[in-house]
Amino acid sequence: MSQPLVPRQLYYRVFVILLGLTLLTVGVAFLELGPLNIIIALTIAVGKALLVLLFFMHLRYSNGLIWLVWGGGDLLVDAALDHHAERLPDAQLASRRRLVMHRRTPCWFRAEVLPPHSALILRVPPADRN
Amino acid sequence: MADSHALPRHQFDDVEQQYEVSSLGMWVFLVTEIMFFGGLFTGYAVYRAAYPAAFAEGSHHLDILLGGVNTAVLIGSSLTMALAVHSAQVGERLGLMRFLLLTMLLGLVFLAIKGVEYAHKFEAHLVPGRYFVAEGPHAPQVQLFFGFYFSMTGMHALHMVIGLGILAVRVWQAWRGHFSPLYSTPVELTGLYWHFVNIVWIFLFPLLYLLGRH
Repeated sequence: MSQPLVPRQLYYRVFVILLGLTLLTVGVAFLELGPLNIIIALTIAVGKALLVLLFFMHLRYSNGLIWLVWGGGDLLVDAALDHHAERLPDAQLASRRRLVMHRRTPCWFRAEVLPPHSALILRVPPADRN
Repeated sequence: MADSHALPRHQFDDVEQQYEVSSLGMWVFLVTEIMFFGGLFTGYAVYRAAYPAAFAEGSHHLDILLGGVNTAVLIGSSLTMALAVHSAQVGERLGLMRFLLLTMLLGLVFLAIKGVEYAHKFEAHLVPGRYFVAEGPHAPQVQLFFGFYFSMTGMHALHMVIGLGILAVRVWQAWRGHFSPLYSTPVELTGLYWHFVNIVWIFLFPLLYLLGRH
């Protein structure tokens, strides 16, 4: 069969590394590193995800087509994040300028904090505006 | 029973091609799952950038110990899942059943701990909605953080519950002698799903629990 038979030893090793990285990410979270905190946390998370993908999910031993599918999906999400990241300063401005909160309804449902061109906008129904 | 599965269906040239197609289908499904969770993560990123202080404040209400233990539990369940696939590939029926059941057990432990955490949030009035109570200038935005917390961890937990159901079917099939070294594709694809759900948690844990701890 084409399925790779990965030695059990390798799974145990990956498991130990994943646990170690989890401890590391918790430890680093308690240090004051400014913007580096989130960068390090996400880098460790990406590293852990890669370990799971490559070894537990056998991506390392998979054919090119599966790499292509996975890479394509990843790029789509990256593109979405970039798209919104570009507009973040805009979003922050907008949040100060036009933040609408309602007392009667959950604000996490009603908050209008994004510029109109954002796909993620949560609009307040016009009837509710005062 | 196992032998009938070892033969390819008529539309495939051989067993290998059949395996590749099944596996590709699963990966395509997982990509749609990335896009699904990607929407939640993108929304989280946008609002976190808009309200960093409030999100850090909300994160302080989460129990880092329970979250950390749950991360370790899930990593352990990924290990047992990988070992289950290995057992299926080498045709160890009892080993396969044992590891599948262990994976389910760890999944249940995760959900139980999650349930304890949710109960704490309900008691502390941190569930978004009319009973939400928070002090300070950021209260509405803290509620927004908990909106993300419950949608993201809730959607993740739902995936775990579905995974547990699939695992239960695989245990039953393994017990019936459904799998052999020639045919272990369903176990492998279940493994892909289970590992994927754990990857989602690998990102949820630092983003929700570890914000602004310094």
